[in-house]
Amino acid sequence: MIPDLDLQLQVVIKALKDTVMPAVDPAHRMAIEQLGLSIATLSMVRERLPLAGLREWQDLANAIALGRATVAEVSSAVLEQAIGDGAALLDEARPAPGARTAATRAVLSAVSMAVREADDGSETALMRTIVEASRPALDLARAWSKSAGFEPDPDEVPEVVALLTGTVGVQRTGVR
Amino acid sequence: MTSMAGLSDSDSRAEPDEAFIARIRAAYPVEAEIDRVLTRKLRGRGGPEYAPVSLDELVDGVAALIRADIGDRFSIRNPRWLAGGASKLQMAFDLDWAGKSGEGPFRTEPMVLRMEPPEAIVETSRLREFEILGVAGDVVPVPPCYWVDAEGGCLPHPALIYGFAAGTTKPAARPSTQVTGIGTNFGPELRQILAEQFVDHLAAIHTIDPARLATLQSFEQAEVGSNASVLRQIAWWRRVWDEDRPEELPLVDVAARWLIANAPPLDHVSLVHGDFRAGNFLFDEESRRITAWLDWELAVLGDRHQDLTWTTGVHFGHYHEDGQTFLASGLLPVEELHRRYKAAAGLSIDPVRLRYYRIFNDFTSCVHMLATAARVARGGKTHQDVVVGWLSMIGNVIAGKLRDSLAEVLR
Repeated sequence: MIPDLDLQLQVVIKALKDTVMPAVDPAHRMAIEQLGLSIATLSMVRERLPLAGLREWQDLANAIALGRATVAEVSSAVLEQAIGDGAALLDEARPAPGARTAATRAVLSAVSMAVREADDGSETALMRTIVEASRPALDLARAWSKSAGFEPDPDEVPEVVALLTGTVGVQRTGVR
Repeated sequence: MTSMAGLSDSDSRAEPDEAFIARIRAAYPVEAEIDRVLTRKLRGRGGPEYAPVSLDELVDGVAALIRADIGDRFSIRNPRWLAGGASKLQMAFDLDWAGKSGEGPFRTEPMVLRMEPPEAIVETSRLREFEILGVAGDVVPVPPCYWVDAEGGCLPHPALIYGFAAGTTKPAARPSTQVTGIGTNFGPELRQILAEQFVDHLAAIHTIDPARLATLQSFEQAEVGSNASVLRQIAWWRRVWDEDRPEELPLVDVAARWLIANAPPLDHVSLVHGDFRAGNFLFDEESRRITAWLDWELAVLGDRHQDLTWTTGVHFGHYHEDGQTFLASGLLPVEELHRRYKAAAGLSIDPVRLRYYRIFNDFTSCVHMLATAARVARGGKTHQDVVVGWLSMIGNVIAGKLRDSLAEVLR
């Protein structure tokens, strides 16, 4: 493919590092800081770009699993509909751009609504279920961001490739 | 929480109308000054992105603000940008003047203009910050505060002007690789010296005389025996979540419900800094003295345990060279911090409240990072969107910790 997306990012990063950064006034600390973070951001995008499609799929799968755990606790027609629509998209070979992300959001929105509307008698069991069922998505988000360096103990966060390709088993279960 | 692809802003939060604003204001009862600031933010949201503002424009605004107070007997020299911090625009300058009264000797004082961008990673009140600096300065070193432009009448956006405080947030020889001083490693010798001051200052802030706190006009007062102050804060951050989130995160709703149901009454009213950590104090490398505490914009009247848990947040510290011991704010182990604090403040530390405010702080941090940071960067509303976008990833770390804490309390 020309242009190759990875190549485009590679050459931009190189230009910023090798040519632009040395030319920036070292007294302009804000410019130095933002240029450094621009390079770091582009580098992260370059790392993650090959996984973006898998991420979209897994986010939807995780949301559906969370949704199913939720409807086991509370009745919600809106949530049932969102789960059904989302599950259909998981199987599609060529979904419309953004469709899986929109479906993920629809499920999460319905789950959040269920939390907000739960009556005082039922909310603890529901909350417990949601907290537990949120783990795969939160682990994936942390793994995705790990290279930013904010994790105090990076070894406790799985590698994102493992989570997305199923070598860490929990991510691929609970979908159906 | 989900991937960054397809973050569409075709929702009502991108261009809120008056019906949306009215719904939000009615749903979340917050302090009057907080309501004013957040409502102003929403009304400006559909407006233009941040446009670079020149130093000349800021100098003109500063001059107008000062002139309105003391007349023409001053001059401004050497304006320059200051870097650091995640939310505000800062310009340093030299002010030649004879003091507020105009009767002292003519002298040069270094000053800082601290101004909001159109929207920031936290939307807060310059008026509250100005008032708090006046009170906190009684007990800890803070920059002296001179002028506030609460409504952005003279400057493009609300701002305040204070004296430039000398010092650095991190040792020159051991620079942090992160922004805003997060995770700074002070080194074994320096950290011990700073730790003592750090804890003493925290204790001093928390034990300010209630009569002095009662002079804060733009703060609703808190009361011993009541949980109203923390419930107002929960409403504040629920409102911000509702205003800013690019998408739902059910965990945040679970946290909010738990916090409301378990809100503890106050046993002592403290001035709470709200962001007390390494990165928010300056120190002199030669004397090793803390010279100023900064970033008071999240200050509230409430429970000391809020600061005690914030300052020990995992994203603000790092592990000791032994690889085993976590150092709160890169300075001292948590147990040691608590021991020293109790001795200095004469106040107890309650493990139940620590657990509560750990969850509270992680809840608010999720709002900052997973809602506001994403929203303002997407809207191009700051002078440093790339910094804000980078910092938003901390939200994923914190959400994981929040989940773990909630799993424990809901067991």
